[in-house]
Amino acid sequence: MTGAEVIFEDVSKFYGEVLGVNKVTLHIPPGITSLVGPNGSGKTTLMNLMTGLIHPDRGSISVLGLSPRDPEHLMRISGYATQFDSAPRWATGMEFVTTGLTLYGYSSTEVRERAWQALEQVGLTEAAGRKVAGYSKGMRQRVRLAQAIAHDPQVLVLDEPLNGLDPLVRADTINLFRHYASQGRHVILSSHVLQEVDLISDQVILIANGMIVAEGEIRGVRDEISEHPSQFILRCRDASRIASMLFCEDHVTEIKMNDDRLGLLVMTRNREEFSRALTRIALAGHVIDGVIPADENVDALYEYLIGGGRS
Amino acid sequence: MAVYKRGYQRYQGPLTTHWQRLLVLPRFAWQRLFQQRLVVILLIGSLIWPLLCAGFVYLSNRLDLLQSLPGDLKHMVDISGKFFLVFMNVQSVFALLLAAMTGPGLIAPDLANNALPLYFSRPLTRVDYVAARMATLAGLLSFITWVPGMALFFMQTGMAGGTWFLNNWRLGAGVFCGFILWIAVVSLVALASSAYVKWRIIAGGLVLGFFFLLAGVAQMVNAVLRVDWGSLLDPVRSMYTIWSSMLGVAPPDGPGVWSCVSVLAALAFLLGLILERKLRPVEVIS
Amino acid sequence: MPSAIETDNLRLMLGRREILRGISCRLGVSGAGKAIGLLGPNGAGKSTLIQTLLGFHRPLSGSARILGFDCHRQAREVRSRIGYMPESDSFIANMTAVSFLRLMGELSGMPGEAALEKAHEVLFHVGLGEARYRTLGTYSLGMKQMAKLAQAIVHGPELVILDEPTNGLDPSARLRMLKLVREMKEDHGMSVVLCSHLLRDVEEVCDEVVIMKDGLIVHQSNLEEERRSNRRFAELEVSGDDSLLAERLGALGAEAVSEGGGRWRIVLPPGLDVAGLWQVTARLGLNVRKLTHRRDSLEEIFMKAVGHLQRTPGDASPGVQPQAEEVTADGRL
Repeated sequence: MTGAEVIFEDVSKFYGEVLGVNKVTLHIPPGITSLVGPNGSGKTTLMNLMTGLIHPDRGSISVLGLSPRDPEHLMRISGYATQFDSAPRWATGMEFVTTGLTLYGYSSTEVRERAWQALEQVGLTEAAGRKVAGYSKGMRQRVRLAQAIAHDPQVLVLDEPLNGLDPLVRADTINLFRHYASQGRHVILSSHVLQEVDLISDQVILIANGMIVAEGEIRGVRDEISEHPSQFILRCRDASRIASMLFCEDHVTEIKMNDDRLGLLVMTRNREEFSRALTRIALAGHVIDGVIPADENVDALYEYLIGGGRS
Repeated sequence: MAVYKRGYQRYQGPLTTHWQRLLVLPRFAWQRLFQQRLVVILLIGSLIWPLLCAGFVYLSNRLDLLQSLPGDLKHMVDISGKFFLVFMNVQSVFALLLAAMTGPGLIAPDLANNALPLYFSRPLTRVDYVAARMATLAGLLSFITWVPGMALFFMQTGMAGGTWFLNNWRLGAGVFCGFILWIAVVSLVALASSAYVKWRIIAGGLVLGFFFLLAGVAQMVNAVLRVDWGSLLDPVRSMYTIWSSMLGVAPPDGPGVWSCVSVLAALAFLLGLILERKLRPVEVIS
Repeated sequence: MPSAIETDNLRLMLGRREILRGISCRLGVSGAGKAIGLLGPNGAGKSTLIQTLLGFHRPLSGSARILGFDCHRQAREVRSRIGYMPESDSFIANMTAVSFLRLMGELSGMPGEAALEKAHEVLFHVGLGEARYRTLGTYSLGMKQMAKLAQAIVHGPELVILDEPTNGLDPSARLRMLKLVREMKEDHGMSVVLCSHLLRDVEEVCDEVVIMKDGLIVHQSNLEEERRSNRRFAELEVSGDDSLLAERLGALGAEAVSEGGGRWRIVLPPGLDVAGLWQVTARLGLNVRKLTHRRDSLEEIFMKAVGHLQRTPGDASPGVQPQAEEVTADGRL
């Protein structure tokens, strides 16, 4: 239903000559959506467009039915944590969050309550009284997140929110996102750590050179890329024998042997058939130590669709 | 036919000595500075007065030519303490200008982009770093201060003979030491200004302003409190006092040489301290 | 063979707080290219430890030695043998990359011509070949990270300390960076200390891992050994109806825990091996989608070490010696 989605309709944005995004059409449902792409591909531009900080040259945007040209209403339901690391010099953690909150028109008691809650959720209650300038990088990241969630937004837009956080805080923050997603909110974040994107995202949007390369659920996207057969890595002792047996299968297109002759990289057009073939081979007495699907993750998607740059 | 596999190989050759390494920073800085037109122009301009003075030295030693000069010009061409004092005054101004122009670009770029950890993770202590930066400035400033000064002195010795030298060797020593003192103070001020102020022009202005401001403050203190130790606050005046006494010229009224020396020493110490504070490789926030 | 890094009850105060509270460890082997991962929550003292190793701070008591030299008293010898890639942005804006690396190389003691040669060599090696005559101020974030790495290795150090090297890099650049780190230790024999919050980076590249918390070392293990000792543990992912899997495996003496979605963690008893596993799945008509041997992920080890987990899944098994947790305090292999 369009009422609950973030929609981009043929949106383009240029900064003079410099490309921001080029003809982007997206329908983002609730849940955790990850924006993935190289630096300079347009992720930050998309986020700025979504939150109304900039306006498109062409096309239209609708966030839960609201237009970004209506900041009064849009800003209430959206929260944005940018990647930029500056805060006013005079602000303590608490002040940083409350200053933003007061602009929403809450009473001062409510402001303090909400700010405190937000700081609790990111685990900064102890350091709330200290100046933000004295925070470590991870703490500054968290205080920006607190400021974005303090007014309980329906749409959370976060630019690299996990950057610089240690594994514990990462896990806690991810739980927070999952909690929001389960409530039907939108959590839209950008990240370079593809393994995490894999684990936490409901949807993924791959963007490169200002254009959307793929969007949707990860497995679904993978299934759609039919030019690339599925890859599996096998660890086995009898590699050459197993390879020759696999070649007899007609769904197998390519097999590469590892240097140590203890492993195979197999490309197959049919995962289920491949699995059955493996079972047959294993039962026939050949030892298969490990089976790893090599490309059902965002890493592989990135490599196939965006790739490049690898020496 | 041969196929060569060339890529990055770890360097495992000989290493340079500590002294050679100290000169690395000055060398790079000088290279960069000599590419700037203004610096070169100022350097050349600073050598005009020494050239003129060389002419005076020549004239004063050629009696035949001397006779042909008009009377008042003869006084100027008398090579004595006063002659060198005038020389030092002029060159010290150029030195100050040069320091104000080149000093700010020495430390500020390192602080602006946090390059200090890169320096100090190499065999370079903070003292080494400051010494290298001072050497950069000192090298440049020496070129327009005591180097031409000593050249003049030896030119005079050569033309006037051994007796003149025996009577006046103090002048040579005075020129040398006086300039060294001036270079030290000016360099420290320039480096401190570069360490605390990011923008080159403002830092340069600060270097000049430092001296003018203190001169003004000194005058004010003297006038308001009706004392004369206010002049101690003026490093230029203190320097002048020290030079005068070294060159055998009557020093100006006011505080004596030794008080000036101690005040300058204290100033140098203070500047050194604030430099040291700013140059930590790591910020410690308690 | 002396260790690459050795500390003995190292204590350090900054201001009024005691940041390092008695760290003792022996890591790496001097001369053998190994990578050591340094992990810990924020505030654990990792950066302070690195700064102490570089000689920026003076220890309160105890000692720290790199490659056999004392970090504080023999700082010069230490610093001429190590390279450092700081976490924060560090460069000199108005120098070209080549001049910058020449400067850094000469400061580290290389003669002029050698520094110039190596500057070009290392810039090509890290992938900045085409941009090497441009000033560093025009570089993108990824390029600046590579330039930082370049200055850390231009003088061919024996040990390199990398603080969050993949910070802010996009996935392709991250892969390139990790590949460079692997080459550094494997092809060039450098010891590497990698400090990172991204456990996956550490898992991919490091041989040993040290976890710090609150100024102390709470865990030290040798990942290579762990990888070798994990035959008994299996991670399985199947498609089909797997409701009877636990039972069937239990009957054979294996312990199986379901993680949902067809994913299982299994501990095999001594009598049962992988072939037996295939038989069980075949008999139940299940298709095997994934099968690996892994004891505990680095994430689980980390969470347990800092107290977030009571025990890791690999701890649960009967009859299996927990090897890694019992690596002796001096970190010997």
